[in-house]
Amino acid sequence: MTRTLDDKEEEALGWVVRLHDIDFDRWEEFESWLAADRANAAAYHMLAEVDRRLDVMLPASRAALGAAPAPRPRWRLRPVMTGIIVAGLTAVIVGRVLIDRPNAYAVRTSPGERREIVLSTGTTIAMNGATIIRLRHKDPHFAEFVEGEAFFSVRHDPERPFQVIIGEDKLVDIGTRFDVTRSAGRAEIAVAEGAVRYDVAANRSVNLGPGDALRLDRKAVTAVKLRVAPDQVGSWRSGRFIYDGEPLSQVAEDLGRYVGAKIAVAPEIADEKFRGAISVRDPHRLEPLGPLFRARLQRQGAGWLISRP
Amino acid sequence: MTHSGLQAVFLANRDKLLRFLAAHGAGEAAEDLLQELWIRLSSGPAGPVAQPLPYLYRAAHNLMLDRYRSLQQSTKRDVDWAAAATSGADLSEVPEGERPLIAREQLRMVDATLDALGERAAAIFRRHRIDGVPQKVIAREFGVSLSTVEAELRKAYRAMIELRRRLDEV
Repeated sequence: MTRTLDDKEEEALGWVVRLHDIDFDRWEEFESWLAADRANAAAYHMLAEVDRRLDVMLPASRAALGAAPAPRPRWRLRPVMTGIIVAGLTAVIVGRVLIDRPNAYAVRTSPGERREIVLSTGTTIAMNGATIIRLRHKDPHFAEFVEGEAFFSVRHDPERPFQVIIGEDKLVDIGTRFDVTRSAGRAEIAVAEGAVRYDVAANRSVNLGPGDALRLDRKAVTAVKLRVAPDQVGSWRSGRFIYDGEPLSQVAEDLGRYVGAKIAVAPEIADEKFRGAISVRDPHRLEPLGPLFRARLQRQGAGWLISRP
Repeated sequence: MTHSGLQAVFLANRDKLLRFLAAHGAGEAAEDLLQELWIRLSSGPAGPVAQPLPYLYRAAHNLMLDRYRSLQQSTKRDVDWAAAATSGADLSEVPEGERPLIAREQLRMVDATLDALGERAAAIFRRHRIDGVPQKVIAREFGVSLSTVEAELRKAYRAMIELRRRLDEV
């Protein structure tokens, strides 16, 4: 059973809370309290250290567990307020709203389609099938990753790092080639070359170097760092898929994105782990892949089904 | 206030800072720690500092917390209880299959603990501790007094610290 805080610790807790505030200015008073009793400093240090260790989890808690959203920054409200003030002048309102909005546009690929985008900075984005990325006309240092998979080769500019927004998180390049996959509730970042910094909901950062991968699962509220072979990151671009213990359902999702068809997996083997490399030569003939999964791969409607006879 | 200006304030308040370190329990190490603080300040970024004395107190305070931490770590194993939640910390000691479970379970407990405090305390804690908003601003946002914000934060911190201890005991 946990004991509750004693009186001394209650006093110390008050100081922990007050000192947390960036505007704290009662330093001499704090010093007098510390000096009054040796036990005060001991209680304070102990609680401050416990408090520091809360850091590890709190940001994830907010990002993933659906805490109430923060009030929006003031500047976002401004176009709306301007709109109310000049309500009589429709043309002006429309004009303002358009100008205030970042001029984003979406680039999409159909399932099975692959496409390479070259930005004005020389950065290239190789998009796999069924992928949506939002870009800005006037800002070639920015991409919002909506869903799918893409391999980024960033022409690094230390003054203006390339940023990829992934939900509430942000990926900042430090001179890099990296791969991003995102589907419902799940995201994975793998670095082939250079380094990226991954900001989890703007509160906590993880640095990733070559061969590092970060797997985020929104539903399970986890982020797990993994090691991958750097030269295999983004290998889907040449029709190669490499797995080290991924569930078949994930393998099927990746293959489906690539070949442009839905690949279903029989429920009894959907969680089975797959290890190995798959080369897709002909996206219309997947039957030869069946034996890799110790299963049968056959057409089902417009898609495919992996099942074990 | 420029960088060298900060050093001038340091020298002018040397005794005060020394007393502050001693109050933290620095003992005989106080002089050495003051020297370490001086080195930190000299090698730090030379940005302008609006309020030099509070800045120096803050730096001295952080130094003492760092010292407490390293003394702790050398005597007791540091259990990184929620490393799997977000960090780049080394996860290799925990079997892979269990890592997500640990993180998920602990995060669920944090959220449940916060929510059990009531909506306002939970919201104020998240706003302050996770978004990093000053307490004065929060008081304005929630339309309450500064002392109410402080009271709600104490309530939330107390609960989080007790949760943390409970997890550490397991």
